Amino acid sequence: MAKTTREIDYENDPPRIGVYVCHCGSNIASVITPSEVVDYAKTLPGVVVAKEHRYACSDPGQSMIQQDIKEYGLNRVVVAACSVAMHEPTFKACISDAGLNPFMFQMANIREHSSWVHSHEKAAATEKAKDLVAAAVAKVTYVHPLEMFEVPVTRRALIVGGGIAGISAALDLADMNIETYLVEKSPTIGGRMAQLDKTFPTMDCSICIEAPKMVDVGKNRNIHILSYSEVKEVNGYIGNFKVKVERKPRYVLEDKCTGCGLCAEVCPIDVPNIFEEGLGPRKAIYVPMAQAVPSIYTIDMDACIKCFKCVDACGALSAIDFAQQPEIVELDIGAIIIATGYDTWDPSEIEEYGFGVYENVTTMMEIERLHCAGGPTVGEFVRPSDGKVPKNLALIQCVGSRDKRYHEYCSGFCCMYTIKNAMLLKWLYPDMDIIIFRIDIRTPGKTYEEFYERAREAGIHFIQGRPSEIVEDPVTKNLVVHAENIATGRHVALEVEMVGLANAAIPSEGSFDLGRVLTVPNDTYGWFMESHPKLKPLDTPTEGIYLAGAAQGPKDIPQSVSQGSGAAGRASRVLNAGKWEIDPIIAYVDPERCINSRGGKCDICYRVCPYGAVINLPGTGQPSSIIPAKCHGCGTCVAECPQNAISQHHFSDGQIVAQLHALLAEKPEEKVIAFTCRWCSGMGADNAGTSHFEYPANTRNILVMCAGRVDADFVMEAFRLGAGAVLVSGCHPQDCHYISGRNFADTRITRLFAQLEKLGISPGRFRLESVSATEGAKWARIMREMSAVVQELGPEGIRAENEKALPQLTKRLARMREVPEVGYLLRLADGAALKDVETGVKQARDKGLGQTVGVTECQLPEATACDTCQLAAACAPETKQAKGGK
Amino acid sequence: MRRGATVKTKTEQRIVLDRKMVTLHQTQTWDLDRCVGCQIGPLVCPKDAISHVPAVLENGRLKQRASVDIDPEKCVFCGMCSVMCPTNAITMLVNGKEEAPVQKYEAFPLLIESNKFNRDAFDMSRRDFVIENCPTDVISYDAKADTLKVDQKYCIRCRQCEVASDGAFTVVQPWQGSVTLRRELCVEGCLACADICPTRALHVDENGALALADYYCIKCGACMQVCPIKAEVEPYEVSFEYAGTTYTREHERITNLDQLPIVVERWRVGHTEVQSGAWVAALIRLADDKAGETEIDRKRALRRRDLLTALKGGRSLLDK
Ligand SMILES: Cc1cc2nc3c(=O)[nH]c(=O)nc-3n(C[C@H](O)[C@H](O)[C@H](O)COP(=O)(O)OP(=O)(O)OC[C@H]3O[C@@H](n4cnc5c(N)ncnc54)[C@H](O)[C@@H]3O)c2cc1C
Ligand code: SF4
Ligand code: SF4
Ligand code: SF4
Repeated sequence: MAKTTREIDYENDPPRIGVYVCHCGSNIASVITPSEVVDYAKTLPGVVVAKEHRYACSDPGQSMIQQDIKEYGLNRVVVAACSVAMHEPTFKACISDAGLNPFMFQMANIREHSSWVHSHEKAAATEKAKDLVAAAVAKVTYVHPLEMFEVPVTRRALIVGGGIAGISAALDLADMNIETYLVEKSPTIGGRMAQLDKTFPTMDCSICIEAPKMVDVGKNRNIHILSYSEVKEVNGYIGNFKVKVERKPRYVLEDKCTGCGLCAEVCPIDVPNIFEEGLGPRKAIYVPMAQAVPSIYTIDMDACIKCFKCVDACGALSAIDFAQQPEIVELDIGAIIIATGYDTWDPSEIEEYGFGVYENVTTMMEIERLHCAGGPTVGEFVRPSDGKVPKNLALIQCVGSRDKRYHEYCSGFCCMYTIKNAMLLKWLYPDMDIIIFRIDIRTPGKTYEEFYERAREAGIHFIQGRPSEIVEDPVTKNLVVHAENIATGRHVALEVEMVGLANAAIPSEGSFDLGRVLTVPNDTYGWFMESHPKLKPLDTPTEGIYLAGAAQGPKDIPQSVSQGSGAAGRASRVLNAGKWEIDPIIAYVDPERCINSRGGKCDICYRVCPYGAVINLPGTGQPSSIIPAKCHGCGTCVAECPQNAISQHHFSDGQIVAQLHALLAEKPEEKVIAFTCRWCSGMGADNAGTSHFEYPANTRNILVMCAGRVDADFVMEAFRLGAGAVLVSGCHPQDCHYISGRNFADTRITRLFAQLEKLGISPGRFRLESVSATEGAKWARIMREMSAVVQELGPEGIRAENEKALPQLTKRLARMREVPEVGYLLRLADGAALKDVETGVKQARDKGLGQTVGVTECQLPEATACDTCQLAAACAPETKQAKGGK
Repeated sequence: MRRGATVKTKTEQRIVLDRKMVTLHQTQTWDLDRCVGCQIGPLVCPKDAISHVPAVLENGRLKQRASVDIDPEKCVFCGMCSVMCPTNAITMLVNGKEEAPVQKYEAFPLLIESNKFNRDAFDMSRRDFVIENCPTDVISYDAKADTLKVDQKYCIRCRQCEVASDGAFTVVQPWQGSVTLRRELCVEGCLACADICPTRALHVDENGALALADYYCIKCGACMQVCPIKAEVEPYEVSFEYAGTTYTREHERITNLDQLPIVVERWRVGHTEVQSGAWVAALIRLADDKAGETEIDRKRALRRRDLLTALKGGRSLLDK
């Protein structure tokens, strides 16, 4: 982003705001009347110009804004359009190019939050749009210019998952001379592709094309494979992640094992090989497959009986070490790529199909291994019950996919691999009768439809219909597949010797845990979520962490490889930059308000900070302070501080209260105020919009970074102002983007429930919820329920309740009024003369604001251990020592 | 359920673990009619897959035998238990053939045990008595060859036939050790151990009293398991060296030996030579740590001297 010009005195010049209302073609304009919103915006204080545009984000739209900035001398801009996730960066860049500080901007989402969800209440949707614009204008009035925060970047990448996606990413990064750690949880890299026989649509041997790449990874000087390892802990932020990887003990020394395999020859223990889908055995000391990289053996301690035969066989190489312990490797990493792929779903849950009960019902991955020359039967395709080649075979698609009972989504590659396996078997056994039960055949890839055509020509039968049941003949072990043939409308009962199920792909085991460790959201199933499904498909919402391959959702090999390269590109953008700018929306302490500067012993901010960013020295007379580079800007400490001594840039109490006042200026008792976090809940509310889930238009959102930022005072202020209902909504606690912010919100808000109830606020009028980014339907339902409560009580009822609570609320809000900025605002609202208070607010700004913005140098007080500060890279050793750190 | 998962079926008579892959099929069967709940299986199993199911006593008699249960998640089909089971209750099959992988891969020895029949030294008139007398019914008459045959798989080497045939059968037992009965310590009226003893070493004599003929004892220890006076144990660690590294194993030692009416000690077992940590570990847990050489020798001398008396009267040496 371009640097701001210095000519504008944002702090002292009166606000000059431009408001732009977007039509979004007809997306907004067909429901909301933009001209009405524009006319209304012109009446708002500080607004000097208001306009509408068909596409504000288009070139002409942006030029219009930039021209107005010059022409009208605007120092603040509001765009009423779509979601912040979509275009906030666009418009920030736009005004920045025109010389404004990019933070002098606010967006009102009148598309996802209004036109798309209130299409049946056009007038009310327009009213809502006006309120949202008023709130944006109110907030932008109080925003301050901020400088992006510049942090150093460690030029080192971490890739989690060594499938073909991770391999591709690693090789590309290594080509750019970037040191790359590839963490793989199994003993070898290769992933699922290594298990496949041939690959569609070209039918080349899977391991033959993958193995050379695996070897390249193993030999590359820039790549370090950490196999049999898992990522346990990740701290830090883009450019500066601190990662802890656990290396599980393999009881074989990597530097000594030559991969000769003499040990496995003498090992008495045979257990099912997961790599062979349990169709064949491996030893207790094993490599999963012949082509393993690294080619180092591993002892499976669950199977080992400690006979030490292997130790004898290994002999003088002495590569076996039963005393090995788990080891933690600590890495400094600049960017992370998630490439953890998928697992196959266990279809025994579908009892009607009898997988796990009927021996000859198999999964398609088993079929891959059964006809693979490297497989347990050396390529002879036999059925499990008697080891004979079946004469006929039924393949069933969409097993557990596209099925509301199990997984609603399409697993993507099953159509193609089912056809592939049918074709391969037809080549190998021309007499084999192969029948595919399908719902639809989906072949959108390049040359994929032609592939399907070839299968039909080869004589493979397709029956449209999802089988209802499979019944085994207990004597012959043959199977009768029952289905309704949709084409003929007739019931089919087909006897076959073997059945293959195209079972669903599901996220890799442990995906939720990894999501939590990385603070990257998973969808309801566990697939990793992208920052934007169209425009940022390889980025996660957490900066510096990227996605590749099936970890994000089922993907075939060409797509996984492309994504691997794509993610490497996204990561190298950061890694090659040397320095990176991050959002300065961090918290800061007003030293004079912190009670510790008056000898207090408060440690609340220290305890709640999920990132250990607070330097807290209770009892020393030193005020608490926040390490800018460590603060992630959740705002939990801001909300928790009993002295209101902490504020957050761009989400100050004053700014949020200003939004509240704007939204509740008229008919407050009819309105539902929703505080949502920027991540899951905010995206969930957007998801309700993109899915067009209707809900009443009396609802109003205020966006904060985390539910943890929602101060009890905000809720009370909303009720003091007469609100009908208030919602606080965050991520599901385990998905919180700030580790524990959502949990602190929980404690705080739960306490508030009892207090508000005592004051006479009916229970349904105040709620705390968790909405994930995919739970648009849930968001709409909550909105409907809360509107219903407001409707039921009626304006009279609500006013009566609020009036009763008013004296107590006012009393309890006294302390918030002491926050300089809030005080200023409230006095404005109460009609005090502007001149008097302006000096007050200037003083407050002088104190609070000048403090920490844009700091990359250590400003810590004498601290005992400043090695916790992640500015370490910028901090010279002498300074560190001078400050008492290590 | 995945392919290759172990499936367990359990009936009154048997517990079967079945693990079927396409190229490998392993089964492990516990014949509960043969099992006497002696604790050797649980002791020997390297994966702690076998658990002891205690006996149920009623008025000093056995109402339900002690037995075992198996955790299919833990068993790795090594076959150690099937080698060591003193009553041959455990059979392991690999692809339909009887096999103990630990033996096949020389991680476990063959036990030195046998039962040989010398037709010439046998008085055929005692045929029916000898056949009847076998506690495990493994002796049969081969009319064609006019000789007696022993089903070696199920013979428990109790030596009943040896005595009954006046030495025409010669039995080599794998275990050496001692068994001691002190009736004065018994719970009044209890005969439970006589009910479980697979060899009739412990039995009820003509007077209705519990008696021990220790020559028959195979040192399985089932009697100690059913005895209402329980052994108290303390854990201790035994270390041993293997390929230059020292390993330690947990073992238990009985602390109230002097209060137990029946005590079985296993001192040594005859076996072929192997190099295997698994075997060392099994021995540590099976054999008594106090089994000092002198002790063994003293008892052995005693036994030799009194052998004939013991054979004839079928009475305990230590009783005298
Ligand atoms: C039966 C079948 C047949 C198929 N046939 C074809 C075909 O013919 N052509 C085609 O294009 N595609 C085919 N596919 C799809 C193909 O398998 C995938 O496209 C491909 O494997 C995706 O690669 P990936 O690297 O994203 O994931 P994966 O191959 O799943 O690799 C992920 C890797 O990450 C590791 N991992 C997981 N979690 C962690 C963690 N927490 N920490 C560290 N490591 C972790 C895993 O162990 C694994 O090694 C088929 C799929 C199936 C099920
Ligand atoms: S010690 Fe374990 S891994 Fe080694 S041979 Fe014996 S059972 Fe196999
Ligand atoms: S086969 Fe081995 S692992 Fe299984 S119960 Fe017997 S001793 Fe234990
Ligand atoms: S007396 Fe010997 S054979 Fe009989 S149960 Fe006791 S140990 Fe086993």
